[in-house]
Amino acid sequence: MSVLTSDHTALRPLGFAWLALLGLTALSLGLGIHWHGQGGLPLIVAGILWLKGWLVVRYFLEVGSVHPFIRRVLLAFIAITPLCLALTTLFAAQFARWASL
Amino acid sequence: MQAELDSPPCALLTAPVTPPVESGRVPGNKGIWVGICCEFVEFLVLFAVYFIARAHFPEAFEAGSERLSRVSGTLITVLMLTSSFCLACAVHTVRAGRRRASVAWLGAGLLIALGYPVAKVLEIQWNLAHGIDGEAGIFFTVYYYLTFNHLVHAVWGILGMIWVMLRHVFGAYSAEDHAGLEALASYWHATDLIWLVIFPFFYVLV
Repeated sequence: MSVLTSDHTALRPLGFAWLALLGLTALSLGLGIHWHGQGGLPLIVAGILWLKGWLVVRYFLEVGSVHPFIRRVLLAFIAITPLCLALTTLFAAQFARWASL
Repeated sequence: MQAELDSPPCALLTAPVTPPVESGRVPGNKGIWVGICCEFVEFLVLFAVYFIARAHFPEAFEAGSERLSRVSGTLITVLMLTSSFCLACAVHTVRAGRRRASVAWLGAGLLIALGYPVAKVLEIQWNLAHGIDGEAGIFFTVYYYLTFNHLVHAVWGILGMIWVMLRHVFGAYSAEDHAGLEALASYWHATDLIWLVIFPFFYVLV
C-alpha cells in the first residue's frame, strides 16, 4: 500500500480517485436499497453517475491533457446518460408518447 | 534499468514522480480512439433502447431490478474500477521509466479483469436458477442485451491485455514509447465508463 501513502507521487491522485469511485458505488447502492421507489432517486443517481464518469475521465483518461476532440467526446459521453436519465424521469409520460411508433 | 532490477520487490510498487505529459495529445493512437468513439455510439443506441423501454414499461423495470443479483452487479463494478485503476498505474509507471513496476500493475489489472467473465458466468447461473432468462420480460431482455454486449467488449479488452502483457514482458514498451499500452488502457477506461452507466440502470434504479 506504499503507493497510496508516499508523498510526491503521481499515483496518489489515482488511488484517491479509485477510492472515491468505490465510495460512490457504495453510496448509489445504499440509496437504491433505502430509497426504493422514491421519485427523486433517479436524479440523485444521475448526479452520482456524472461524478463517477468525471473521476474516470479526469484521473484515468487524463482529459485535461488530451486533444480537444477527444476531450469533447469524453465530456459529452459522461454527460449524455445522466442528462437523459434526469429528463426521462422528469418528463416520463411525454417521453413515452414521443417515443411511440 | 539495473537500479530497477536491484530494487526490492516492494519498491516496485512505490510511486515514481511521473514526468508531465504534453497537452493536446492523443492517448495511445488515433485508431483506438476511432474504436472508442464507435463503442460509445453503439452503447448510446443501446441506452436509447433502455430509456424507451423504461418509459413504456415502468412497472416491469421497477419490478425487474429487484430480482437481479445486486452482489454480482457490485462485484463487477469493483472489478472494473480496480482493473482500470491498475492500468492507469501501469501507464504512469512506464511513463516514469519503471518498466517492472508497470508490468506488475498490468499483471494485476489483467488478473482482476479476468474476474469479470467469471462473475458474469456465476450471475447468469444464478439468474437461470431464479427463472430469469431471455423470455422473462422486457426488463430482462434489455438487461441481457446490454450486459452481454458489454461482456463482449470487456473480453476484447482482456484479450488485448494479454497481448500487451506479453509485449510488455519482452520489453516492447519504454518511457519514450508506450503507445500500445496507453491505447489498451484508454480502451479499458472507456469500457469501464460504459459499465458505470449500466450498473445503476439495472442494479440501483427501480
